[in-house]
Amino acid sequence: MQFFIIYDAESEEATLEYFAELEDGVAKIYRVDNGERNLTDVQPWYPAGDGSRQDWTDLDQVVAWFKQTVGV
Amino acid sequence: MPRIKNPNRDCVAVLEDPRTARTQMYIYGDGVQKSSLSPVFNKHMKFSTSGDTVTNFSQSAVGQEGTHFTGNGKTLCLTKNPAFANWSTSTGDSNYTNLLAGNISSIDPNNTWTPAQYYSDSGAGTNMVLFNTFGGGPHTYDHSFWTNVDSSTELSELTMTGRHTGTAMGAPGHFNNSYLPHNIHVKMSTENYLSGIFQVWRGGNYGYSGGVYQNAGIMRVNYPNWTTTDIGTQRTYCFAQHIGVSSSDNRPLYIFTDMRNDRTHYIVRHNVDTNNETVLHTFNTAPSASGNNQGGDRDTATNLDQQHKGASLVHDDVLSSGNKAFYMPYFDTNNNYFPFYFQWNVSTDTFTRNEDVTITGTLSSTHLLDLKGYNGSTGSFNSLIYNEVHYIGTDKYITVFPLEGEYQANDAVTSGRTLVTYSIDATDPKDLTFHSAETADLTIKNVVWLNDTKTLMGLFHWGKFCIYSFSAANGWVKTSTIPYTLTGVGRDSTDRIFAVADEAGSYGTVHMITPTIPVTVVITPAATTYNYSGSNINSTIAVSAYGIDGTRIATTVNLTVAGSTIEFSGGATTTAVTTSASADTNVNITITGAGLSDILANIDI
Repeated sequence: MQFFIIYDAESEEATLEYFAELEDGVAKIYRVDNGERNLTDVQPWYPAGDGSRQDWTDLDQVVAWFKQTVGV
Repeated sequence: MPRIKNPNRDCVAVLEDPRTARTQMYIYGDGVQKSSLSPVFNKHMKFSTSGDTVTNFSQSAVGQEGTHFTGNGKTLCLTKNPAFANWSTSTGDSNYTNLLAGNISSIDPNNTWTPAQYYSDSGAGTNMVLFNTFGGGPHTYDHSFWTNVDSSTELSELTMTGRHTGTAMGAPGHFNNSYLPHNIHVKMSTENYLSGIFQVWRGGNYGYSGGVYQNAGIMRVNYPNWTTTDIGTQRTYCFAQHIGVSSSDNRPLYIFTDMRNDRTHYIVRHNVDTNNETVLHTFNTAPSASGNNQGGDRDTATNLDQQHKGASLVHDDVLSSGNKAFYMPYFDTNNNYFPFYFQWNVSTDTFTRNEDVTITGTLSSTHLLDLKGYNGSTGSFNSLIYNEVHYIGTDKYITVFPLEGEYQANDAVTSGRTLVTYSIDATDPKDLTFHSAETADLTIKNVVWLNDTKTLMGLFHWGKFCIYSFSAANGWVKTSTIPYTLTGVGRDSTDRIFAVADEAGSYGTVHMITPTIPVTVVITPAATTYNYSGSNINSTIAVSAYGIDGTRIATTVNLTVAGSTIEFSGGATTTAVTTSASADTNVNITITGAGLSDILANIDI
């Protein structure tokens, strides 16, 4: 499991905390809400930019994908 | 456009019970018979969770500036996809002028978004009447609901079960007030939850009002009592549209479209049952050049600028029987429209983005090129390009609409307010041919469809509302102009068209736009001039009446001579004439003297 934060410079709520894990080929993202981890994203595949679905390569790819998909 | 009621309180102007069997509706909270609009004695909405109280019940604080916004008695809560506009003279990076795009927030043709919603679970015997952001569009608060109501009881007999309102209250039952509930779209059939969209409050000065889509995501709220809200993943710079529900697992599907370019889309499944989401597809590769489509990314700092994009309604995919499709605006490096044709395999919930749409004939940049575009983070929802499919019989067309919220932003630029229409090949939906272009009078603030076939629509402008009719021969043609700034226009379940006008009062005024009531009467004398030389001159005037779609209407028109030099038959100065639905009706007149007289027309309604 990997902890990461997303910093949104325009928001009063500048920082969102997340955990990511990759288990049995399924990526999961947990957002930390008020100290609790809430599972927000279940991703059985890497949704590549060409519209295809691919296997995940590693946890770093999961984190990078999530940061990209939320637009930061 | 008959005014049917002056405002008398800060209240939803017209409110329709989404339970279509009910016989009452409410105008400024007062009960009226739905069929006749005649008043119902001593029946009114109880806009309260306790007691028989008439309180304010409007969408307040929606991008307000002065009185020109869709709050304070200027809202419509109707069941047929009403459209709204905020009015402000602000320019620049202002949330006051953000578009209200609730009317295009769902592309499910069987479930377009409406403020008046009804959900039920017959198995559990539960139901919920929900008035959802009834000011119309990307508003983030004021949701009212009645839970487990008796099907035969009018709302005037019931107190609210719950209401979430106020400024930046945050999602009910969620710990963080930065997340604000927005449009509800669907109840997952097997779950006691509703699925919808939230936005993120971006600080005290913006984000909570006027439709900022800088951050949006999917939310889950519990049914039939909305006490908790589960917030999903927020996506920055995106506009979200509800696509429909999966036919395999009943889960809702959404498309998120990035405004920073025309090529980034996320198809997201809302796993309502497990309270999370899955990205089914990401599309963000730049299209390749093909034919006259140059592909690539256009310069978003000039010409069309940065634009949100709105997809068409989902329709049958003629390339794949039993499956669905929709169009999404895309403009190539030369700023020409080559929409993406999305195909939805409903069996597998896989989506394909076709980037090889071809255009024959005039390209869009000839008519549509200079748009105001992105104004900054506060006014991030000022501009949107919307395309929609419409039909003449089985012939299909698609029209591109440039919507702009900033005050008069495109008034001086015809290529910023021109609709461009293409015909769609019957067998190849990726084969489009230029059909027509129509320049609107002023900056287009929003569009509302006025019939189900989408051959009649209205454009919201500052100071007027223009109605257009579409034909294969002429394309979109303006058929009538209503000289009011309208804050909302929509249809009820019986297709009556209601409008709320901003007449500079504290609240709006309610009007009906009725196709069978003329909006235009034309009186044409047989001769352009008459030379009176002492003897009476017998002549005629041709009288015609036209409805909102420009077609002739047979009706009674009362004519009155204002002056002393014209008479009708028998020396009368008034007469009533029945117009024809097919031709002019001639009325005999006599010129009895020299000088100027007018003939005035009025219609009894």
